[in-house]
Amino acid sequence: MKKILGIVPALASGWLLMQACGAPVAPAPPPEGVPPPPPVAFAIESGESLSVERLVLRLAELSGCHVEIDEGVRERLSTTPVALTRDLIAGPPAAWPVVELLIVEADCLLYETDAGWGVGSFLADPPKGASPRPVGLSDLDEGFAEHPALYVELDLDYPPLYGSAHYSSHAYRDLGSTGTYRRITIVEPEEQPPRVRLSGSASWVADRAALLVDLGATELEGQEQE
Amino acid sequence: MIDMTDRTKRCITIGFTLLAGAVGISLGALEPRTDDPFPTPTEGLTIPAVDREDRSEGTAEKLLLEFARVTGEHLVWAPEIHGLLRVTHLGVDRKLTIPPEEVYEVVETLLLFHRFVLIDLRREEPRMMGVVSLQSAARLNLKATARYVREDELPTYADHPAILITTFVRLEHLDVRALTNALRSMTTDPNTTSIVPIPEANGLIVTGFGPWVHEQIEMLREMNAATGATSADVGEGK
Repeated sequence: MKKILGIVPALASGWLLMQACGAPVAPAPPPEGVPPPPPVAFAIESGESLSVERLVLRLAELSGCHVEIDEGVRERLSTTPVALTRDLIAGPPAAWPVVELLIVEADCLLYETDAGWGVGSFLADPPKGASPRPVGLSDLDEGFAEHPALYVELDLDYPPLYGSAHYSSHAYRDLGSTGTYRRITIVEPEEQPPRVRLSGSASWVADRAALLVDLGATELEGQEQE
Repeated sequence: MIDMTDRTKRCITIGFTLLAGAVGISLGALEPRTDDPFPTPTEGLTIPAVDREDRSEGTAEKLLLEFARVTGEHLVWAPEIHGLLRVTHLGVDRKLTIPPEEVYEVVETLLLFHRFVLIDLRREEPRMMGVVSLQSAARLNLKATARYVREDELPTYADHPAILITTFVRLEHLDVRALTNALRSMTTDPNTTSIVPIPEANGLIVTGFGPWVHEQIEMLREMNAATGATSADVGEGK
């Protein structure tokens, strides 16, 4: 009885300590449009013997989702080594983000298909049939921003930044890249003020959206002060 | 009221200790998380002096492998970059010992001197960086990879001379268009640096390596404050 009396407060204090330390809780399921995490940690060995293609297919199998690599890039990805400097173990939530970084390094993105996911090159035009998932700023906060290879599109319905589409295009040229995996465009330039569309890598879209939102807020603040 | 004997108290103490230990172990087994995006390495680095006999020592590749080991960073490089790193000799004239707190800054300084750049890919565990060369075609798209850093986070990147960042600064007392023209001579490499005026927000988007951006913003802030003070003096008829 006395032993039991000793164990009960110990358990209670242990539980309290775990809560205070932010003990791990079951991870929330990923939002729709994000590949499911694998059930266990994912190990990636270093060296140049493992190709990006094999790595992606291995993770897809472990995660229980279907990934099809585009015909046009399959050969390239099958010979592109992962080339990490040392072995890496990614916990389930980090597995796809880490593998996606290697996909982006190979100038490719991950897009949704009817059967699951596709991997294709975004160096020039997006692959045939690849359409970006439309997202809002809140979606980026809720999981998309962690995924560097997810193909998304964000229309900023925020107060515009610049007076003319011409000037905005000039200012944005520096923030994007020549490939289609990091692109900022002005949509409906005849509108005053013009709307801004960011498309490509979800992480990159989130990063640039944060900059543009800050800029918009600063502009508004300046107008209010005047 | 329960009367707790010494034995009961001992049981409580032992139980608590065991549980606290188990909790500690389980938390330690989790992926480490830190608020510092570039935690100080647990040990320093030593770079050997130039060895005319053994050309495999003192290369950029060896430096980066050691850098990755002590910092816990995972580095990613394309095969062609790996080839360049292997044949790039750091050319240090005598043995260089780097203390842990200087590892990032000194290694990045050496890398940039040899025209290599680090891309900040991921700051959560597992932390990852890409390595690219300013001598490869990748340099043309480098600025698009520059991470957006808010002004208050700039000091963190001031010690990272090989990492590109982009930031925005509002300068309410300055004409940003005229200022951009005046500063044109300071952006010498269009692949890595730029200053873009945003007249509607009366600010500038500044892109470049961490310390350069930090210095530019400090200088611009001083200019802005001085102009503001002068305008106030004129307004008061001083």
